[in-house]
Amino acid sequence: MSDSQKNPKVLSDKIIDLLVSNTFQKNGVNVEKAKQKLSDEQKQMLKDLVTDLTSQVNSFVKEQPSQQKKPK
Amino acid sequence: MAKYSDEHKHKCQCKKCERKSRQDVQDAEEMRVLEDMRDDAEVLQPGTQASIIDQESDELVWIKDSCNIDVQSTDTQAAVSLQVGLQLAIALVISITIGDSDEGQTVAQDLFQYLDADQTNKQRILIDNSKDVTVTTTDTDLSVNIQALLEVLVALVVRLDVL
Repeated sequence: MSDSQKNPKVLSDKIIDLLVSNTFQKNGVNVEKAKQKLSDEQKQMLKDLVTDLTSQVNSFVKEQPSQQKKPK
Repeated sequence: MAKYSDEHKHKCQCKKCERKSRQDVQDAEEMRVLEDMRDDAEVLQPGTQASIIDQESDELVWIKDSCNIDVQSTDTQAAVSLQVGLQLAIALVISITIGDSDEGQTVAQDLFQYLDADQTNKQRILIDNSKDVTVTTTDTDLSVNIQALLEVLVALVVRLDVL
C-alpha cells in the first residue's frame, strides 16, 4: 500500500489544460459560444459548486493524515 | 476497432445470428453518426478507448490481547461519493454550457475516458499483545483519483470564464 502524501497536485495544470482543450477541439466545440450561454447567475452557481467541491476534496485529502496527531 | 466488416454477412437464420446482424447494422449507423459529428477526424475509433484499471478494496483489522489501541482508517464510501459528485459536476458544467446535445455528451464521455480508473486498496492490520498503538490508514489511491477529477473540473470552468 502506498503512503505517498508527496505531491499535492496530481497532474500538472498544463496536462489538464491540454486534455480539456484537445477534447473541445476534437469535438468542434466553440468555447466562446459556450461562454455566452452562461448567465451571471449560472456562473455564480457554478463557482459556488466548484468552491464547495474543492474544499471537500481538500479536507478529504489533507485532514486525513492530520487526524493521527490528535491525542487519545 | 471495426470488428465486423461489410463483407461479413450472416447466412444463418437462427435467432442468435439474426440478433448479431441487427447489432452490426446498429453499429454501422452509430459509426456514421460519429463520423458526421467529427468531420475533421482523421482516425475514427468508436467504442471503448479506456484502459480500465480495477483494483479491489479489502480491509482487515485484527486486534488481539491488547489495550489502548487507536485505529483510524479512511472512509472509502465518502471518497466514492465525492468522486460521483465531481463527475456529476463535470457533466453539469458541460450540459449547461454546450447543451445536452449529442455533442455535449461526446465531450463528457471523452473527458471521463481518460479518468476511468478504479483504484482501491488492500490492507491488513494485525495487532497482537500490544499496548498504546495508534494506526492511521489513508486510501491514497482514491484521493489521487478525486484530485485528478477536481483538477479537470477546475480547468473546465476556468476555460469557460467562471472562475
